Amino acid sequence: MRPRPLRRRLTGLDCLAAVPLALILLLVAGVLAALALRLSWAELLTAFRSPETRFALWLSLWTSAAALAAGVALGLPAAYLLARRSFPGQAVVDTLLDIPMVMPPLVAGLGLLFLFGRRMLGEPLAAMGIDLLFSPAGVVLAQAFVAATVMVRMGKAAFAATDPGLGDAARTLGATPWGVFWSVDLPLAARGLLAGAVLAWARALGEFGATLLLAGATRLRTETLPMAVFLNIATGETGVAVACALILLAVASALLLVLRGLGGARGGA
Amino acid sequence: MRATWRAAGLMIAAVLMTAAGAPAWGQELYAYVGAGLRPPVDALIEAYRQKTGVTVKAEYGGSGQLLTRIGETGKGDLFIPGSTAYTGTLKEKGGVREEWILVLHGPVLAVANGKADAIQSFSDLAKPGVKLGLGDPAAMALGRTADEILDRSGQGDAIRKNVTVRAATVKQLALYVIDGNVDAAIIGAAEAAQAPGTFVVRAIPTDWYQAEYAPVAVLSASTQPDAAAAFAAFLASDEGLAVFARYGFPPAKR
Repeated sequence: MRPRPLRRRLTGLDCLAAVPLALILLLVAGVLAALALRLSWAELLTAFRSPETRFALWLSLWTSAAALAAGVALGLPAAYLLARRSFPGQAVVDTLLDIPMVMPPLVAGLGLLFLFGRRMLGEPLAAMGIDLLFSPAGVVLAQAFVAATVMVRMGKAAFAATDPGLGDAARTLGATPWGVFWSVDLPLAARGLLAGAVLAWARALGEFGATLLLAGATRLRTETLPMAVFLNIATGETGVAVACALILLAVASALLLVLRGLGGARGGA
Repeated sequence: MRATWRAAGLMIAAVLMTAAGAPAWGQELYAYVGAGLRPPVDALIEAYRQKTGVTVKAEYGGSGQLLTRIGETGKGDLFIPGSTAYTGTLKEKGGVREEWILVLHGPVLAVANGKADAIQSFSDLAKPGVKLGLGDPAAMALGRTADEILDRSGQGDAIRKNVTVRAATVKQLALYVIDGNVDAAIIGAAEAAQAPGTFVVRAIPTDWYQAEYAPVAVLSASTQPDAAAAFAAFLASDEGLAVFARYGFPPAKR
């Protein structure tokens, strides 16, 4: 059991820090309230009943889950390698991996479109029967591009925060590199990795710019919830757009709460 | 303790000052412009600035999206969408003070360079396996026109099966057809004039669609209607229309 933190009087510094915290909270609450105030029950019901919204919700859920799976499958091993080994040119690799995080999504979408378009990889991929453009597969690709880089970045920090000495000790006791990874490093870094996965998934769920260019804005085909919000704004259906946005936020908050609960139960803090 | 509160006060003041740094309205005109009209409008804004010293800030986007922005912000001076349908909607809500019809915003069938042999005429779009790009009918002017064209072509069902992507602006569609990511797309005639050789143009029978005209409207929300009307009149003048024509937008018949 952990010692409980001392109960102390609030210091001047605490008061000072509380002001910005309150401002941020007010802003977030204000944004949510402003969105909710625009919505009538009728519009929310319409949005819920419309097959377009349900399609968008379902598409958003499964594509972001697929993007997260791809992001973890690629990002986790990459993060482990980057955290545990040093090699020449690591600074360059690190910088390259940071670029997608600062890239405006539309630019990422444009680059992906050019790379997977007819002029470059599109033709050979089409010969193999793979068509990534303008399809749900393109949505997953756009989201996975973001999710993988987030996972590498967060995963690297999580692994770097664990003590490599514990793994070395396990090695001297006869554990294999795989054994050390599975039963020492992975459990130790679990909380950080979970946080990384949550952030990667959240970024994938909200992805819009890259999806717009790579997969298009085709209703009932590549229409994720963020795309539904965009299309309904473009149509002047602000109410439906807000309803879609709030559905997205509600689903995301629910999942975040569940994950936070899981992380709390496991980490014990 | 007093020092702490003083610091807190400074922090709040800093935040408030950042919030107050919003762009100053009134020093210049603000226009909402359909993305497809950007090249001529950009040129005209520059010409007008040199002539009169008045700056026009333009926000480009799909016409439908801009319509929503106007409704939400309640600000801005001018609206130049790809079709009179959008100023019409705004008029019904009392949002338009004055309107001039400027130019014809006609559709063409753009065919990717490698597909010119396969797609000789509009009816070839019904062939199985053709990849067609269209605009979203609600989001952009030529998306509406495209749907009308399909309805009247007599092969609407077969052609709709070949629609592989919908886009939000005409520029996005042009991007797809230029790289050959779609075989064909219904886009603005002006795109062909602006980027000759990047794709092949096939005509669309003119009785298949109601011609769309791009207008300029002075918004009721404008705080400087006279200055806005002066710019609108400049766009509608012979000099203005000549610039539009240079970018492939023929003047509307008067």
